[in-house]
Amino acid sequence: MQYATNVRIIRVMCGGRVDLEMIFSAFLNGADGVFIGTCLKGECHYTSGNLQAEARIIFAKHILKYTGLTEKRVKLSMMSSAESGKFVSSVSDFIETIIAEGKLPDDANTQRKLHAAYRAVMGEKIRWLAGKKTEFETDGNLYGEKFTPHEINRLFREVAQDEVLTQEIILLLENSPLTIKELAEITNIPPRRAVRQIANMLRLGIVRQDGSKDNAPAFTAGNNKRLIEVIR
Amino acid sequence: MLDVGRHPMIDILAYSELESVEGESSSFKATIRKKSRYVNASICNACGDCVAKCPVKVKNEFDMNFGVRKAIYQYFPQGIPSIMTIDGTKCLKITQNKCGICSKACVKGAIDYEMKDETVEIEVASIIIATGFDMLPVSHLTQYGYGKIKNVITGLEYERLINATGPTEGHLYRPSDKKLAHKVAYLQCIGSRDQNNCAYCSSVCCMYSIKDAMLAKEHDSEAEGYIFHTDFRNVGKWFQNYEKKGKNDYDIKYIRGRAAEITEDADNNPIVFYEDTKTQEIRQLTVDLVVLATATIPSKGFQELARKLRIETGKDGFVQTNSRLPVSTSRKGIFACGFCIAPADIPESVAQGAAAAGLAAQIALSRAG
Amino acid sequence: MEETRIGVFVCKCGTNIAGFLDVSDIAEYSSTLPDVVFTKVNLFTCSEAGISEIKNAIVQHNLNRVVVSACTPRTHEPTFRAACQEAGLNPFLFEFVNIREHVSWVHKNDREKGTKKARDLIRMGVARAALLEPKEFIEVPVLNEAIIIGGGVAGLSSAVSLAKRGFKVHLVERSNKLGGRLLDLNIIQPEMTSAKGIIEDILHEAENLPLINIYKGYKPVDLKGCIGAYKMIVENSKKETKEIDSGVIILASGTRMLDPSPYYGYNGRNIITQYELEKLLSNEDLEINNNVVMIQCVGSRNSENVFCGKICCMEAIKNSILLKERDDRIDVYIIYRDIQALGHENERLLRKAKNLGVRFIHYSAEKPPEVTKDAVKIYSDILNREFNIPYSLAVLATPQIPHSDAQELSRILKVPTDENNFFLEAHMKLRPIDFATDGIFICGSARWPCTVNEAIYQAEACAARASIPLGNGKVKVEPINSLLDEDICRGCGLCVSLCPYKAIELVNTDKGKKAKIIIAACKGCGVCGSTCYRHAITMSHYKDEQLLAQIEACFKE
Repeated sequence: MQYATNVRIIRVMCGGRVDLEMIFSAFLNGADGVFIGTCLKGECHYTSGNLQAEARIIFAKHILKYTGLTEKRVKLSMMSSAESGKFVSSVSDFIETIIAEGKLPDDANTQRKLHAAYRAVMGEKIRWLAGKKTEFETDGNLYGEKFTPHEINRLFREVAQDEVLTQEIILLLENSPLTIKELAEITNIPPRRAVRQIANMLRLGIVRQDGSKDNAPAFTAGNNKRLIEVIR
Repeated sequence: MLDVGRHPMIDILAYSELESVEGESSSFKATIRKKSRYVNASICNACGDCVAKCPVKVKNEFDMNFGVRKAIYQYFPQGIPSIMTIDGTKCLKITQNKCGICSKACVKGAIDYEMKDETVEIEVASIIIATGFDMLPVSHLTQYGYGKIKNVITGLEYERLINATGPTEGHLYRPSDKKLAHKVAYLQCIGSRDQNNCAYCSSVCCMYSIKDAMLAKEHDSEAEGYIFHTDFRNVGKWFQNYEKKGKNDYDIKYIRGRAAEITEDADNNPIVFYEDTKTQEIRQLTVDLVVLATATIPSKGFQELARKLRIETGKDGFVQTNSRLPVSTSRKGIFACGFCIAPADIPESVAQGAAAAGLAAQIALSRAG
Repeated sequence: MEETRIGVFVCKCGTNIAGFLDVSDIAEYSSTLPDVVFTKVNLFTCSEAGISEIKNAIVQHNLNRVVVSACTPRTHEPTFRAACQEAGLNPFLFEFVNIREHVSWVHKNDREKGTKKARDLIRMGVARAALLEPKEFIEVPVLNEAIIIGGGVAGLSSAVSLAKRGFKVHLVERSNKLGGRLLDLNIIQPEMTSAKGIIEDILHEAENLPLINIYKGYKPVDLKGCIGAYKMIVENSKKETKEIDSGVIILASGTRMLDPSPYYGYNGRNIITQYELEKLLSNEDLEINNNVVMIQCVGSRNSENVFCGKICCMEAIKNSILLKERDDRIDVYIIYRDIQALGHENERLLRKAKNLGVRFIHYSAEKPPEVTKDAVKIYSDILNREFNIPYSLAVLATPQIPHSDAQELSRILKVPTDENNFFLEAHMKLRPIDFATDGIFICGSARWPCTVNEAIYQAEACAARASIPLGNGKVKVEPINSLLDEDICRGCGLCVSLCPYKAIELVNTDKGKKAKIIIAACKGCGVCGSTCYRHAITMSHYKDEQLLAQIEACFKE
């Protein structure tokens, strides 16, 4: 039983211990991919930790996709502790995928997006929703509405995009004031989406107008104490 | 096994046999013969340097004789206690006073060719029997060709082949030509449910055959499994789901019918002749490999052990128990669990083990006060 | 603050590691890592020589962290922790790096890259070790009393066994009489003993043991606490409640019979269930003047109940033998799919039935029998012909199924059930009578349909397992558990709802609602910590900073 030497294993008590922070910290530190091995569904040593890991991985995948990296860079594989063969084939497949994708780009753009992603997963919204997934599916939300996997996926995608974009804009505006046009260009989103995002952020008070450039209003980061507070 | 190995209250007497038991419940005196390993257990740390140097190759019983081991060996790599043993019937030094290489290879000086069997006497409050099972030898059932047709093997032999740490590293290389076997027939009730051999049902074969066929498919996407069964006995927890999974997800063919005979063609491919009970026709199926689910029987030497312990055995040679006292034997203070009572699967054996331990401990504790 | 002084021990494991990796290079590299003050290569770190080298180095070099890079923690972590402890170092200041299973054994053909991987793993281990904190095993007292839910043969057997060992037992039975299923049964195969005899024996024993408290007509409605200190509320039909304290719980709540009315025109008169036949057979003047036709797998092994009823085949065979022995003129037919006569006694009974003239007719699930007013129509696929069998009694083998409130009980005890609503043990093979939650055990048919024999040994097994904490009077818990920063917690309750072990509760404090960790119940899985959006929870021994340090070190060559 042999496999390639590319992986470095970190032991945790349960897949449910793997925090989104750890996944994105790994990417920020230079990992090209993150693999999480958990127990099989219904056979979790800790009853249900694997389901929590699964919920978080949905977010991680959407975030990676949004940051322009492929979602393939994170993989969750379920196996029993007796299935060493499955571990080897699963890890080997993953290594092949990552080699095909190549090294993680280290240009400023990717790094900024990853940084934004890191901040986003440290924030309240993504963590809260990931934790609520199983409840939404079985008992429904506050209004008793149950979510299908499709609906969960759509909700998580929208929230992931919104949260990472918000953090990316804040990161940019922490450096210098920018106009909507400039923001749209740097973050590579349609100007209309940038307008909507800034409007929302203005409403929440996390950005504020700060002078103007070429007759267009420029913005800077507002008082984000509460948002930043939770980010170590 | 590891938990047992390192538990401070468990003293393991492996490679040992019970000679006699005297006394009664709460004060038995057991005489046990510790067979000589020719290796000092307190020095050996199973580094394996001796094994690498030993020139004698012997068939490996643990690998169902598929692979080879040395005359100095560890029964299997994760064995407890983790020490080497010299096979006194094969070692050149012991049989012919030649060689002695292992003694030189051992930097710790653990080898002792002069070591003798040792007899120990221990006092115990209670005794638990958990001697397990053996497989019925089936070469006398000539219709199946076991022993003559190379590519007919038993379920236990198959276990070693399909095991990743086994002699073929988990590849199903068949015995005749070491080619990968794709098409495999699994035959149930070989000697079981058979008036002339074992009248009873061995209970575990239907399920392990499904597992075997699934494993083959996981190793090799081209694998085809055919299970020939009479009554298909999958009654335990989730077993019906497992049976369905085998059929639906692994494409295993379940064929109701007892195989009548096995022959082989010029390429050593076994041919299974069977009656299709749906059409009452005799059909034949040529496969790469046949796996026989042979009957399970009380382990070798068990009848002698039962005599030494003075406990009753039933018609089929298993320990006699009854519904009211399922793990108690006919003799007070002696309990039994697992296959020695009757064919049982893992969870049944584990639960019986706990039950026997509880009852045995009760006697020991009340004696201690 | 005390200076961090790490000792790294690199094991050769004979040739298991040294044969595939450059161990001296690894050791040399390890000595250059931050805070590492001592490095040593051992032939076998786990040998007595290796252990004493660790102990000596801790003393001589004043080590306050030990890293062993060798094999899997599953084998020797306790050995090395003990070594540290014996040398006066807290055992949780030890870190295990696996360079055998994770490196040398799986990269046998690439010495260079394997060696590099081992260096990386040790660097990560050293980074984590530097941040480890001393911990003590947690001891929780255990009240030496048990609650048993269910007064059938399983529950009663457990109760008797525990009471005989001197433990107080609280037996909770929802109905108004003890005895359960066996009260309705007739004869138990294979010994053909009287069911009533068996249960009366056990009941007699139970009633004569003053340590057994019986709560008839009560069922659990609430449970708080964890192993050692459970507090259960039970309630009767008048809504009167009682509170029971216990150290452990044994669940033996049994099953009910599937409602037969949708099947084969069941009418309770001449189309009845096997279970009802039991009662008829215990009746001396039962008169049957024509054929008896028994149909197996009624409402089981179908899409709705995938499982096999397990005991119905033997029940049918037993009853067919009793009928034939009572009156040889009665013709008995058993219409079956697979006869489940496992084990070494049952096959003999099957043969006896055949010798007595019981006819067995196989059918396939695709062509089930039809029961009309006068006859059972059945196509035998083995004989390829149809039978039309007149009957005076048609007997349906319906399975036992979980109680309708199994889900409710599962929620109260916080133990899982499977897709059929049978209770789900901790491990299907190796821990069949434990729940994943410490201190709760399962036996009898609530786990899966079983015979009387199985119910009794499972009950004995539960009693044995329960006796361990009850007898010790305490349990030792590994100090790997959640740590809460109460100032950050907002009391949202997300962790409470996610905790698989009911180990977190919401309490009112001066600062408002806050989560509270019940250390004895916490297993340290970390779900709460990795979900908390306030970052108010971390896990001891697997702290965020410890794991993040490992991640960071991975890429800092």
